[in-house]
Parts: sequence; C-alpha cells; structure tokens
Amino acid sequence: MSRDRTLGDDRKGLYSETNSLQCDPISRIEEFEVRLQSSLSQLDSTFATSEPDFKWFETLIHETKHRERSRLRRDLALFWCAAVIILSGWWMSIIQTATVFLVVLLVASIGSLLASPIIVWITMRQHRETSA
Amino acid sequence: MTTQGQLPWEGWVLVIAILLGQGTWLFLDARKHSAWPWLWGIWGLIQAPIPTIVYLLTVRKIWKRKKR
Repeated sequence: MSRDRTLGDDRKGLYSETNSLQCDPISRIEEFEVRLQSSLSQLDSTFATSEPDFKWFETLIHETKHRERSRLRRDLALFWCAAVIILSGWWMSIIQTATVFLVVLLVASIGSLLASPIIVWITMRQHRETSA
Repeated sequence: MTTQGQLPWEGWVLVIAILLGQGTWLFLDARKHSAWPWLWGIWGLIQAPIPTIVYLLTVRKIWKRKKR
C-alpha cells in the first residue's frame, strides 16, 4: 500500500512538473506582452506627439489647390498670349503672300518631322529613367 | 488670287479654332504629364493634326494601353 502511495505521489509530482513546463512558454509570452505594452506606453508618454488639427489639413489642401489654380491660370494666359502672336503671324503671312505662308508651313513640317525621332528618343529615355 | 480669297471667313474661324483648341489641349495635357508643355502647345498652334498624333503616340502611348 505504502509503495503504491509513493508511486502515486511520484506520478503526481511528475505531472505537476510537466504541467509547469507546458505552461511556462505561455506564461513567458504573456509576461513578455505585458512588459512590451508597458514599455510601449512608456515610450509613447516620453515622446509626446501632437496630432495636427483637421482644419490645418483643410487649409493646406485649400492653399495648394488655390496655388495650383493660379499657376494654371497664369500659364494658360501666357500660352494664349503666345498663341495670339503665332496665329496673327500666321494670318499675316497668309494675307501678305501665300508663298511666305507655304514656306513657313513647309519649314515647320520638315522641322517637326525631323524633330519627331529626337522627341521620341528623349521621351523614351525619360520614361525609362523614371521607371527604373 | 490669294489663299485667303479661296476660303470663306467661317473656314478661317474654324481653322483658328481647331489650331487654338489643339494647342491648348496639348499644352494642358503635356503640363499635366510634365512633358514639355510649351513645345507641344506651340507645335499644336502651327499645324494639325500631326502634333496630336505624335503626342498621343509618344507621350500618352495609346498603343500600349490598347494592348492591355
């Protein structure tokens, strides 16, 4: 009887040991999580971050949009000024003599056709550089 | 007879509108894509429709989009 009892006690001890071994990793993880959380909260409290106001973002967007719109208006006005000069020159050349207009048109056509491969090559290179 | 005499004024208005519209579109679109807006815009004011075709082929690359 006493031998059975000692055997039983041994078994209980063995079970409790294995149980503690099985529980150990979990408890360690839990402990680690608690420590990590406390450290992170400590870190958060150390470096106080101030969240910008929502209105600040709104004004930033509004200002950027306004700046972009005014830039577009300025560029477009400049372009239309250039267009008036070019088209009036073109118009005058037609009124004065058709030959001047035809010469200008021919020069522009030949020049643009010659420039096309160069433009293609440069744009391809730019695209390759941006994609790389 | 000059070239002006051969075309009615409506025709001239149409030609100018086409050139101005083409040039403006090329200028704005090239500006949006940061691809030499002044070059494309001024070329678009001189003749039509070669600048638009070259622009669509080189900058916008429409043939690539169709492949997808």
